[in-house]
Formats: sequence, structure tokens, C-alpha cells
Amino acid sequence: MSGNLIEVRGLKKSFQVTRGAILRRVVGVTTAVDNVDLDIKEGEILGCVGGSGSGKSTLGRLILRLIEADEGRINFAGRELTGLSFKQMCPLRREMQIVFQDPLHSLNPRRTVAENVERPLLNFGVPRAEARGRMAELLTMVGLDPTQSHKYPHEYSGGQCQRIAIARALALRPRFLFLDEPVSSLDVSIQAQILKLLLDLQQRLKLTFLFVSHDLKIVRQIAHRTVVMYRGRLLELGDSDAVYRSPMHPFTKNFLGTVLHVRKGGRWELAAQRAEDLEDLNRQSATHAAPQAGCVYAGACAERFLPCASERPPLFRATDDRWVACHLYRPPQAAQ
Amino acid sequence: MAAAQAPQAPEGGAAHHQAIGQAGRAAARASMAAPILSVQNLKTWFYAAAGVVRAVDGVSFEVRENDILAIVGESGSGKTVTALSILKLVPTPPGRYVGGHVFVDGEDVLSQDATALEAVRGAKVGMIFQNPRGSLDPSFTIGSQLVETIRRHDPVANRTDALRRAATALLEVGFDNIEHVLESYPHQLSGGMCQRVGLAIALACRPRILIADEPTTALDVGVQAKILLLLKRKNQDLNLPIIVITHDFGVVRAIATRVAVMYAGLIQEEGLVDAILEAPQHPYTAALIQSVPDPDTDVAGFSAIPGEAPDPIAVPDGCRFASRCERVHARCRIELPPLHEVADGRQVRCHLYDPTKGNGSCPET
Repeated sequence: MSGNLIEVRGLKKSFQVTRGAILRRVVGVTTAVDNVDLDIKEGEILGCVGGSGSGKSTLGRLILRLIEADEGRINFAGRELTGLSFKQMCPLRREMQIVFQDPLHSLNPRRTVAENVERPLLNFGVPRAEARGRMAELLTMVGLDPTQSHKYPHEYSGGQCQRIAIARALALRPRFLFLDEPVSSLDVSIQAQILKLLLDLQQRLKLTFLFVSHDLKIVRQIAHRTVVMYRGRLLELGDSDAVYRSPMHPFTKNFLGTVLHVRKGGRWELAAQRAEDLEDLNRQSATHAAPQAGCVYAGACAERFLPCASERPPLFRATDDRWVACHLYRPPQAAQ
Repeated sequence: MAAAQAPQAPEGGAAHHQAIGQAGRAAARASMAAPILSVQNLKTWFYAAAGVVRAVDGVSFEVRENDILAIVGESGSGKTVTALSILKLVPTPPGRYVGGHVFVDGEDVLSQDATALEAVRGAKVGMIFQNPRGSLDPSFTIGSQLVETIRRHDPVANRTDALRRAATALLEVGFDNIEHVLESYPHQLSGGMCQRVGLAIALACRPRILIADEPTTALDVGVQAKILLLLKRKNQDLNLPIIVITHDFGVVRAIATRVAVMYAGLIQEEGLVDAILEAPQHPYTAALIQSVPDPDTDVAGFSAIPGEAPDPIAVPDGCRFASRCERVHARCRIELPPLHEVADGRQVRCHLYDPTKGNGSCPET
């Protein structure tokens, strides 16, 4: 097992693209998660970045089995999740929880904060009195005042609602938390508060996080390792610091380039310019649909060469702890 | 004077240039044309059942040609209400323009009636919004929405003319498959493309000033950079001043020339972007910049601002940041600090910079 809490192998999920409100003709298929292998170590924060539509949220939902995968296996703490029935899944659900992006909408607006946080406990048969006590304990843990728990979510600010959502997710003492853009809808000063709280809880309760975000700056700061996704594929995986400081995949390089810095001397203008030029270049040759063969990024890549169009690169081991899905990093012995 | 000194020895050249530069700037400032937009002591309050929300509570600033002014603040700071007030777009009731003036090209917007406002909205002040798809009508094609806007503001334009101008407008925001876009519905375009269309509609009326309310917040990082680049180019090519409302200091650094930091309905600090980002003076500005994760330094935890913004219905008497401020003093809780001018064109609303007490020193002594 070597300390992996979650092992994902060959995970695949596609969605049908339909047209029309009534007949819903199927006009195409998008592959949201495409043949993903991924290990999440016990006790780590794995960051997952990518643009919208890159499949990062779908990946998390697949792992929790909130949606069913088309293919592939998910192993959670030594247990195979794929193929488990709803009933068999139930006890495992205590161990894996989710925190959503929009805190206000992920709480039940017609239930008080106390009822929201107690709900998972009651669902799993915890006696009401005990649940009440645990609820107070949880709210204190996330920095809220339990004596105010008779209020409704709308009476709280966005940051406080996210604290409530975190408390609810932790109610059943899970081992794994899937954080789906947990701070994206919050103000900067509040973002930092929530990240601090998450980091603190993770260390105190020895939790494992999958932290999905489109904001590289945040992921770099909170995650131990980072995985970069594009069109359903993992393009790069490695130590967060290293991925940030020396990106290897051409996509990661460009993605990082367009990050806006508060400090002087950002390269965003250059990166945006280059992205525009590449788009112009590719507009004549390629369509926007994902290529059937070859690298998913080949169409927009500045460093593409012959094999990129025909052969889909797997994750090559570029350095000790860095994996890159790019032909540039094909090890010599694997060539041919 | 410059001409007389021109044929000098090259050694004096650098110093000489500097002198000209300084003199030139001073002259430029003195002879600067009237501001295109001038907001003076604007107060927009909301009369809610629970009490009066002083969303904008005495905001003043000016925007001149070539300026890109960023108004930064967290949600509830009043930055969007300020922007809406410039177009007199705040719904009344519950809103009310309690005081102040907004001059666009010398005309007082807030005193105008609905008919007169039509000549301001869109025609003089263009606006693009945070949610690019939501700000377009889902049941009409891009082409018909562009044509409608153009004909609304220029009644003599016939359909063919308007369509031609619509195509030009799309070309100017970087589209190349114009015919396809003209016939598309908003849902058929990506978020970034919708924002381009929004910009095309705003620019089609040749406004004197553009207000962009969180123009890139809903977009992906890469797309965000492209839209910002486009805005910057429009600012330079058309001499079009832009007000960018944002909560992202990355956006501020990327395109703005000046920045006004808002908190609880008031501007707390205003000045040139470089000066403020490099050396913020108001404790709020400093704390806010600190709480942005900085990817280039080593990770040393997060510096969050403790607490939350004050209840907008019961704003404190003194400084509105006092309850969260690290450098708070007794005076801060009693007396609202005015905007102190600390340098040329730089203002800070903080007692620490009260000139009568000495800069940066403790105001109690």
C-alpha cells in the first residue's frame, strides 16, 4: 500500500453533449476525465489545477463516487470502490467528504446552522443529544460561536458559511476531504482565513485533501504536491514548489505565465500575446475539438514536434518526483 | 528654456533630461485638460427595512484621458455601487443618491432625467459586466444585439450600416470569424468570447469612458490575461480612460495606472499603482496585499486579516477599519480620519498620516 490512501487507475468519464431541450439529440461526446492514474498519499494535500472544463471537479466527484466512472478502478484505503453497491458504499461515505465552492448554496437555507451540521450525524444514527454536543464542538473547531447556531445560513457571511460547510464535512470524522474550489468565491482577506483553517485542521486531524482550484497561487501555497490537468488528462505531477518554480510541460509553462502577479515584472502580457499568436496559427490548421490521437495540448503547443500529433504521451518520469505527459521528456530507453 | 539649453555638452545630458522630465510633468499636470469623469463626495445609500446601508459614503475621484483607474475592494465595500452611480443605475428605491455629484464631460449625471440619461449611458459611459454571458440577451443573436445598440444611439444608421459597424466592432475586439459570431447566440460562445462581445457592444457607441465591473473574475486564467491585454490596448489606441472594478491586485498591477482602495463605503487610499503596491501606507491596504498569496516567496503561512468588515447598517463612528486594524489607537475609534495627502496625488485615510502629528508617528502623542 506504501501509504497511499487513494489509488486511481485508468479512470475515464465522458459526458454526452446534447442539443435541443426536448429531444436532446446527442451531438457529441466530451471526455471529462481521460485515462487518469493517480495516487493520493495518506496525510497529504494534493492540489489539482486546470482551466474550466479540464475535468478537475469531475475527477474528485468520481473518486467520491458521486458520479459513476465509465472505466477504471478506485481504491480507497485498500478497498475497491468500483462495483460497490449504494448500501456497501454507505459506511465508506463517512470517511470521504466534500466541500463545495459556493458555501451559501451548499447549505440548506431552510435549516438552521445547527441542523445543517447535525444532519450527517443523524443520518448515520448518532443520537440527537450526542449530535448536538458534537455540533457545538465542530463549530468551535472552525472558529464559530455555537451559541449562535440557531441562526440560518443567510444570516452568515460567505466566509462563515464556508466554515459551517467545513464543520459539516468534518462531522463524521472523515479521513479524506475533497475540496472543490473552496475559497474561489470568497474575498481575498477571507480566503486567507479559510486556507489557514483548512491547513490547521488538516494537520491536527491528520486529514488527506484533494484540493481543486484554478488559482495556482493558492494551490502552490497549500498543497504538498500538485497535479496539472488539461482536457481530462494529467499533464504534470510533482512537488508543488518544484512544479511552480520550474514547470516542465509546455502547458504548465504557459498556464503559469498567464498568472497575474501583484509584484512587478509579471510575464502575463507576453504569455497572453503568445497564446494569441498560437491561436491564430492553429486556427487555420486545427479545429477546436480535442484531437483523437496525439497529445491533447498539441494544438496549442509552442514546442510540438513530430510524435505529438500522432501519439498520446503517457506520464513520463522526468525527475525523481516529477511526472510529465510530454514527448519532450520521454526517457531515452523508452524511445522508439 | 529647454530649447536654449539643448546644445549642451553630453555629460549634462542625463541630468538635463531629468530636469525636463520633471518640469514637463509639472507643466502637464498644470495644463491637464478637465477630467473626463469627476466624482465629488458621492453618497449612495440604501434604505432597507433593517436600516440605512451607507454603501457609498463620500467618494471622490477624477479620471482623465489615458487613465486606467482600478477601484479595489472586498465585497460590500461599495465599489460596484460607485460604478453604478456613475451611470445613475442604482435602483431607487431602495437606493438614494443622498449627496455629491458625478460629472461626465462636465455634465452632472445625477441631476438628469431618464431621457437625458440615455445620452450618457452607453453613449458617453460604456460598461461591461462581471458575468459576460448574463449581460447578453440569451434569445437574440450577437448580431442583432450589436445592431440594436448601434441604432439606439444613432437613429440614422440603417440596418445595413449598423450591421457593417457591428462587424467592425467585433473585428476591433479580436474576432476573425465575424459572420459566425454575428449569427451566434450567447450560449454558443465561450465566456471569454462573450466578454469580447460585451466590450464590442460597449465600444460600438464610441464612449468617452469605459467602466469594467470585474471584467475577468468569471474567466479562466489564460482568458483573463487576453481580455486584460485587449482592455489595455483599447485604452492606448483609443485614448479611452477605463475604470476597472476588481478585488484582484493581480489585475490592478497588470493594467491599472492609478488605484483607489475602498473599504466600507470609503476610499481608504488612492494613488499611483506602483507606489501603492510597493509601499502601501494604509494598514488596510497593506493587510489586503499581504493576504494575497505571493507565489514567488517561500511559503510562510498565510497572513489573513482577522475579523470581518463592519455591519453596513451600523458603521462605527471612527475609522471603519479600526476593529481589524493592527495599528489602531484610541483616536481611531472616535474620529473618522480624513484623506491625508501624503505625496503628490497620493491620499491615505488614516490618522497615522495626520500632518499635524507628524507622518507615521503615533497620533496620540
